[in-house]
Amino acid sequence: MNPKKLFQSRARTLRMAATSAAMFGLLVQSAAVHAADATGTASATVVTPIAISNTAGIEFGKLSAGTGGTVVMSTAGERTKSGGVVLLSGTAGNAAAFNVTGDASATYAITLPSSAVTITHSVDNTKTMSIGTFTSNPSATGTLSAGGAQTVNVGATLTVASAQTAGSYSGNFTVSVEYN
Amino acid sequence: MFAVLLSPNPGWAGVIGISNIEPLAFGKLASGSGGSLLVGTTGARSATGAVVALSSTPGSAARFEVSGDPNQTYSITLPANGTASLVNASGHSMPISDFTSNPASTGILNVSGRQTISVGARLNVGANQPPGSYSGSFIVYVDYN
Repeated sequence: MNPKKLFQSRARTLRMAATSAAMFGLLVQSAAVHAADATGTASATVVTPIAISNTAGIEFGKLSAGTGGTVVMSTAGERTKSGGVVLLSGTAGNAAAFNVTGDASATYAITLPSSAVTITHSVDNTKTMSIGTFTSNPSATGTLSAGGAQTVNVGATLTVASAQTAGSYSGNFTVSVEYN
Repeated sequence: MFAVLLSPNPGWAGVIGISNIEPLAFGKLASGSGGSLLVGTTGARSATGAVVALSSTPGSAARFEVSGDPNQTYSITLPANGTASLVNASGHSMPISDFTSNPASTGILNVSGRQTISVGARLNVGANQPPGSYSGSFIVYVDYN
């Protein structure tokens, strides 16, 4: 072989190798500088507001004050008394009832009056009694049904003074609920 | 010659990739007079204003898996405020803001070239927000440093 021709052939081969290496490097670089992104999904459910309505008040029924004492109305509607109070069997009274509605199967907190509530004589508003120690069933935390409702019964303790003025007494108390 | 060029060349990097493996879930909430509901990168929720997070349906942080070169650091870009929101079937919306991630801003791929990113955000809830299911999407970018 002609020595001159051999040299030319080698030079061409080297040049080609260098060219292909440079192109390869360029391709890798262009792939590597591409950032990547991903789309995440997000969701939330806004529930129907929780609501409460009073369907029955606490009725302590008829009683005779005597030397005074207390009348406890349980959440099941059963009256018990202490002291000189006499319970009249004709009107047994009942617990309060509230209807709570909201999101199906949700749990919620029940807040009862934390201090005593005053009830006032229907004619002479200077004559009062107090109601305290409120209790509820369910207590503290309720759970709505699959239909999104629950009844909360509320009881309390009435304090009667000795020779409490006869008559009809009434007042209001507030029960609140919130999802938890 | 070809092989010698390949191995030491720092340009020989695998393409960085990212995929969403868990959605961002704010769970159930009651709007009341409005506020916000924050889901942290651990998935823990905290509510502000009158918003109440219902315990019956907890939330969870989004999770993304990043893949690429082992031990490489990379930047994480989260959606800017005003770019993402949830919408219900009636077209009512709630903006999502304050995206956070763990790791934050810069991640490091492990020896296998992988890392999981957790993403949380704040859902901004209007007063008396119409009840219902809301959904949406958001984009997370990653790039080698």
